[in-house]
Amino acid sequence: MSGQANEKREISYLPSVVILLFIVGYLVTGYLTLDETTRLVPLMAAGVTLVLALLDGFTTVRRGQISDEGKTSAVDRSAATATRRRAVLAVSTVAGGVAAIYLVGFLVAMPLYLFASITYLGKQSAKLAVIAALLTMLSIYLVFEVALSYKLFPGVLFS
Amino acid sequence: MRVGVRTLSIAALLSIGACSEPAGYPNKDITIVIPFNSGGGFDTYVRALAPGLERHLPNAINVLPKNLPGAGGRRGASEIFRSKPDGYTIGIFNMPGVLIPQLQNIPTSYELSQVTWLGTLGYDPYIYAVRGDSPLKSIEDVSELQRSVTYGATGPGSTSYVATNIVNERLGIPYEIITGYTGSSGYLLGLVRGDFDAALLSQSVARSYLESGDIRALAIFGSESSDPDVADADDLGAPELGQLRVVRMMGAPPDLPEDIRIMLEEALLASMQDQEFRVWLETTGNDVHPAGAAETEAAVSEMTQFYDQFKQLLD
Amino acid sequence: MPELLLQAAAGLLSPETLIFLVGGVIIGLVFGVIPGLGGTTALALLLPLTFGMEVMHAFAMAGGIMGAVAMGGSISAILLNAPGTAPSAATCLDGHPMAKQGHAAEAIGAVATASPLGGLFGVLTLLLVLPLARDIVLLFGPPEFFLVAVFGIVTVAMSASSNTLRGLVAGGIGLMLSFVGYDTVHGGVRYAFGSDYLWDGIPLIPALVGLFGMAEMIRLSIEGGTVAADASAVRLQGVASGLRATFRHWKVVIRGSITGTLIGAIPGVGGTVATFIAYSTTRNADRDPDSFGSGRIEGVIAPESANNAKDSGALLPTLAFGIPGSAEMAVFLGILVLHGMQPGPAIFADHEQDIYGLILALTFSAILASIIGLSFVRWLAAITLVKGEILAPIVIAVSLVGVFAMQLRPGDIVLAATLGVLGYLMLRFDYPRLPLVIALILGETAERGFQQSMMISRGEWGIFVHSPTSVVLVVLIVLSFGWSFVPMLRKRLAAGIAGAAS
Repeated sequence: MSGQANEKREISYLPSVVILLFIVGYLVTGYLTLDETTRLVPLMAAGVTLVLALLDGFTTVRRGQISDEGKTSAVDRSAATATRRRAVLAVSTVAGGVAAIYLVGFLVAMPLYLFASITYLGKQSAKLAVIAALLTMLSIYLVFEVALSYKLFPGVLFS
Repeated sequence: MRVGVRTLSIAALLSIGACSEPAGYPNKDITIVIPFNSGGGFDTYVRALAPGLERHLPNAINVLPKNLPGAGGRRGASEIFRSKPDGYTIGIFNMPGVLIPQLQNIPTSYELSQVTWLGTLGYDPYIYAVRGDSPLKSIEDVSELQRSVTYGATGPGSTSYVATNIVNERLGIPYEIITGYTGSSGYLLGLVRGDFDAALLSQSVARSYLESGDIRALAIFGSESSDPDVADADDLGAPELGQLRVVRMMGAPPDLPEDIRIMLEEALLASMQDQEFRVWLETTGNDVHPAGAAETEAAVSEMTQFYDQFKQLLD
Repeated sequence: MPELLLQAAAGLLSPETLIFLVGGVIIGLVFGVIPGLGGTTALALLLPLTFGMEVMHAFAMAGGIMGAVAMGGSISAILLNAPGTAPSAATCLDGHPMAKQGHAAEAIGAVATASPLGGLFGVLTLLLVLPLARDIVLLFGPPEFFLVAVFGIVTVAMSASSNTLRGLVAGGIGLMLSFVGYDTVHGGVRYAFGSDYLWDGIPLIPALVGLFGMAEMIRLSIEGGTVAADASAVRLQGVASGLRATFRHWKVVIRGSITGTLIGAIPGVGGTVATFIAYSTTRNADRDPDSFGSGRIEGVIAPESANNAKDSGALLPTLAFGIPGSAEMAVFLGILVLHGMQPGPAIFADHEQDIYGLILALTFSAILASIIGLSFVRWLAAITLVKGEILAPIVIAVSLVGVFAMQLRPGDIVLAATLGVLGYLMLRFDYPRLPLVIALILGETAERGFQQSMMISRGEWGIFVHSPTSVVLVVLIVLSFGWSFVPMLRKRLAAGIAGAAS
């Protein structure tokens, strides 16, 4: 019980923690790597943002404590966990797709990304995914390579 | 209306598909890398020149400008340098724009002394300009001012910034530079508005404002003066300042085969003589000073020496 | 001037020229609809083709494109919440909620009238002030740039709907990101970690495609379902009521058009800021600002009227000084030069008729785009019925291709995807994206304007109230602060009295 409550709390605090870490990282890097003149304005902006982010984090913690008092139902919690899992999945599909495009280029990676995304993440039939992937690629190819004579990115491995 | 659109798109498709496979160089399209955005000075210059280049090269191939803007021209220069030396990728170099970072020891993925130079298109001299209504009438007036003179320029390390530093150090004028303007038209506007006293402007940008009287030239660097009121580097007793100009040079990756280099060099020189191109230069006030490969190579090493002696003024 | 204007109109209405105009409009619509592509890319692709054309043909085509991208971009903004072009991002805010409630047709109808009306307003203003172009451009120096940037950031940060504090945090992070890259004032390179890609800073278009379009698509692929709640929602009724709504809210149109023309004329600030400010000022001036973001039609009309008006504004500095008012104008500048026109003091005298032709092309194309757009909207709206599981990956794929086509930089793909994830997280954890975007666009302008002003005045703060323009701007900044604080204070006060009474 307490474990689950903790997990719920972690999620709502996570953005604040990440933001604070980002700002602190920005401040430290700026202080260490930049000249005094050029770092002045960025560090000022970061400093003000740090204060604002701390205030925001503080309000989030308070709000979190209030909402913890009202017990959330088990159904809500399992739904939240499911969405969270899907979110991680979706983000990693995009990340994987972009990494593949970066390495081997649009023409190879894009159909794979579309297929994987539609079947694995979207839970659609493989046939539908193949059709969608091929149609999209064909229209992109015709518009860019043929009609506009624009070379689609071939990927860092093949360029 | 609909018919018209269809004809248009068919025409567009045909113009791309029409190319056969002749033997010998060149047997496919040649790419000219432009290290700046479409629409800029270097871009329009190359695009105006490209049709002539197609005419003067054997075989019916296309010469396709490709914009690779970024990192102040270094991205384009690196791209040219790293391409295969087969004559299908050449490019235009902004000098001394891409030379300065190399002298500043900024890590670059090109080495200008190894580039296969094809020729020079033209150069843009620097005009020492003040506002039209400024009390300053000559460089002497400027050096007699009892305060430091303010200038506008783009960022530190840029050609305009470096040129401003070199002129003032060499002529012994106390000065301050207001940096951060975007592009030469940016600080031209600053000069007209009166943000600062003077600026070093490239001639092609300054021309129509000189004619309209918005600004006035006190001196010219990088070219001889044709106006008695405007001093040149020799008049100022600093002939080496004649090196101060922006040069448009064409180059190819290192180790380009000699026969291809000669073919490209000749096509380049011939297309700069084309009537159509000359008319374009005339109407837009752009410059042309054709020079061959050997001359260009010599100019690069001379330029490198010149900026090297002002190394401490580069950033 | 009148006879030259008539001649230009006659030239534009010749059958050949019309073909180029219509061609431009269609290209503009298509490039506008696809996220990542936009007017800039369309013009850049067109640039080599125009070289062989007659001046009037090239202008008709360029004008066609510039007038039409707005319509295209807003259609995808409304239907998919994925703005096709950067300035259409503001149209998402209320346009997409309208689509979700089944009012897509009404929203698009409003776009179809607001955007040509704004365009018309801009053109009329441009014709009036053309002789003064030079003086207007000279009104803006470094202190004014600083103040305009501050005004933009303040207006938008203050109107971040749900949570002002989080709006400010997002704005702060946007500012921090805007400083990445080469510092043009002091010459250092900040937070680039040695990469040439980051040397140029964080590019706007890939960032916007990521933060808005990709973020929305990631959300859709997680939640599944279709964009519109059910099939009945996209039955396209209400176009007419959308068309009428624009005329009913004529004040909003005028405010939006003025904002668009003015902000469009300021180089380096540009179209995206214009539409966001038009949206924010309309929201702030409304009696019920909190209802914005849930599908208010004024929230569509305001940015849309600015969206086409901005092009006329952006023409001023482009023609008068060769300083592009926007990214599109930078490419258009190249078309001018390729046709032997050097922007500068003499251009109005030398090429008056051509310029009138261009201005007319801009107006006609906005109207044409609306007509063509409206006749296709029935098919386009079917997109909202496609399953998100299929639609989302396809839109993501197409936007990534579009993003790369801009400048051929692989880094742009990675950046768009990264900011897509960031945008999704911001959506999910309720951090507003608007202040982040505006601060990202204006942060560097603000810093540079400030530093340059200080150098020019040698540290005298008086420079910020030195010219009438800057005084007006200072007043505007104070007003936009006050505007958002007064209702807040009033609410606090009322709550305090109620609390004391109980």
